[in-house]
Amino acid sequence: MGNGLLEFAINALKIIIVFVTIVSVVPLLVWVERRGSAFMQNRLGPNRVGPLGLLQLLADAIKFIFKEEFIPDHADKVLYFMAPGLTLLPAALTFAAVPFSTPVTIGGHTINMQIADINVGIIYIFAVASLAVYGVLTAGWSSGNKYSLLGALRACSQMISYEIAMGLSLIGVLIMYQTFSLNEMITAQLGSFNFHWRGLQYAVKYLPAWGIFYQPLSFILFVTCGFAETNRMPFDLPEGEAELVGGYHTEYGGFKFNMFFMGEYGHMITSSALITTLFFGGYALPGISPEQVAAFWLDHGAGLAQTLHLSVTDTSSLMTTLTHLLVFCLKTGFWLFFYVWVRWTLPRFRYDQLMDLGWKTLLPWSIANLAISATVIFFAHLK
Amino acid sequence: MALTSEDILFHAFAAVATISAILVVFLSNPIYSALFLALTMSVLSIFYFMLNAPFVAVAQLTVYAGAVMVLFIMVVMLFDLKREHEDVLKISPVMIAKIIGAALLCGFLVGVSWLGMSANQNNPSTVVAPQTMAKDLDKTKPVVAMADKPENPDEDLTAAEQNNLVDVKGAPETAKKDVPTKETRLSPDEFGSTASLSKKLFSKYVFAFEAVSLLLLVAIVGAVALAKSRGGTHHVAR
Amino acid sequence: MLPDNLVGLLHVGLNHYLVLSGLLFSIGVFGVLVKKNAIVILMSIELMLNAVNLDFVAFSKYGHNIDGQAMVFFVMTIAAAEASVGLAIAVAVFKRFKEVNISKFENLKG
Repeated sequence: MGNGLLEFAINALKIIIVFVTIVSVVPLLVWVERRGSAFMQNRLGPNRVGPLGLLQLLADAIKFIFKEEFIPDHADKVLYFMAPGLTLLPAALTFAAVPFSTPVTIGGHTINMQIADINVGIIYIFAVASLAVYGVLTAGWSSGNKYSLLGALRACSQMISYEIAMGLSLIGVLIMYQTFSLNEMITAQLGSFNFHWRGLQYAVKYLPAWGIFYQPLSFILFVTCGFAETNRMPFDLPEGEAELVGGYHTEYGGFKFNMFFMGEYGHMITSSALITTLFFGGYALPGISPEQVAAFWLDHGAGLAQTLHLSVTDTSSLMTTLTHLLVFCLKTGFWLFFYVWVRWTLPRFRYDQLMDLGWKTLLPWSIANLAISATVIFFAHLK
Repeated sequence: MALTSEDILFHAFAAVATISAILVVFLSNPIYSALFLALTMSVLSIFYFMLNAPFVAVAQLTVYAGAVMVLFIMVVMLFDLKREHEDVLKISPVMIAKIIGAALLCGFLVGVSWLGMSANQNNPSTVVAPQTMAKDLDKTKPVVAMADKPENPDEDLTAAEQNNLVDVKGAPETAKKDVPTKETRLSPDEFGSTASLSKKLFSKYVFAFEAVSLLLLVAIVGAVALAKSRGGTHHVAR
Repeated sequence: MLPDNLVGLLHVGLNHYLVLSGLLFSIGVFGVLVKKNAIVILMSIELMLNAVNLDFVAFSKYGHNIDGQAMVFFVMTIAAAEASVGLAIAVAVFKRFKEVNISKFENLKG
């Protein structure tokens, strides 16, 4: 019972840490967005509050909390209160299957840097991400406002259409890695680019074995669908300010509005984390395997072990985990910046252009990718 | 045997699923019904995870909770149905007959399962006994814990099943490999894995698989043909 | 802490899943019989199909046979197809009659 309780406590701690990290990374992300967009538009952005404007978001959060929250007259009160929570819930749940770093071993206990190592990891993430539609729908419906409802229905049909292309575009990657588990995918991306063709092995030494080099078309399709799924530019018609007032969150103010944005940025973080895990090797450094990093820290970690009062192996394990966590954060951070970059570069799609792109362009290309990948892999393994 | 956390979770989620299913039927606002049905389906997906069926669980979330229920909710929103005033339960003889009928069905299903529960109280996980295969009684191999198996392996099968069993040596391979014995059972992780499920789907059920995909195509064409609106920006000029 | 036979009753086995599935199925049957809104009737049918899926998966686990999960795969697909066609019919009916209450469509009743 004691062991079970310890495991339960560790899992609960992991959940709390991940959730708090998401909630606190979101303001940082909003700061990046506002400063980044300002520099792209040749202006400065918030730079008064705190150093470099970093406390602007804290000021905004305080403003949101103290704002008067009123409910529209024709709103469905229960659903109106539930909708922001429904948006945040899938965004937080998807983080359960994402591996942040290598497992750390301290004092005989091995702690996975992943809340749940589900063996259907990637399709679990898709399944939970497809539940994000409910928050949007209930928000639009419960506002009692024609424009909100229109925005919600548009957002919903957009999200469902692009889910299909997103799932299909990943099947090429899945056929290649032969697994759904994200941990095994990261392990499969170690080493340098090599492939099997009819009994012979070919390798390119200076390229890491990242997914993007094996499945470039899948990468392009997945990133595009990721933008559409998270309702970001150029696919943000549902919340486009000039088109539908505020879309499905028109009638929301104060803290509930904040929660919508936490949900949206949470989805963005999940999307970026997935892109790094599937196509860019996840938490691993290019060309250096986790064992080599562990060996490096074993050699050079003696001084640190003394200050931390841990054994050398424990310190090496801890520092390996921290190194890989840093690599993961850097890679995910780059893709988050890419999301911001594209938002302020490309103009918005019109609704019919958007749906045509999803159904008539991305879907056939995903199926083509699947067919080509399957054929190539089949012939590559023939002797 | 102690009460494990899985038992507590099962009973908690079973209560949630039952209550939300009852609310689906009893609430008069169709949007609430749809949302509670989506909740029921999500809770069922949790049950599938507990039953070593991770792929089915994820498919349940994606297909049912993530697509079918969203379709229901979108249709209800398009209809703009808020509250059905005529949907109040009127107590008429027909209604009483319906309620009694549903209650009888519930009693029958639950009662049969409950009876099975009290009969198997000591050994709840082996309700279906594994069938013995003739090849396992090979006398040349050391037999472990098989001393109490009957000499004739076909004796404990019913007469109907005995008729179906061809002469053992010439028995069709698929029938012999179908039901695993205790020795060939897979571990829980391997059992519900996508690989083992897809092996079954693409070998034994491949015709059904292809037929179902054709059915989906027909359903798509039918749905578009039924619900297509005439006119608007996509009106095709003749 | 709990009496032993109560623990034996509560320890989850196949029958618990069957009881739950039976309950959900009969709630679905009740919904189909009693409700007047065509969409809610379709939803009750989906509930019945889900209850059957739970049965299949439970038997698949406790009978050590993966055919149950393959069956669930087909039931799910057919249910999705049936839901979409049923809803398309409901949309067509609504467009024509502005009404989905089935008690308004009793012209053929004898």
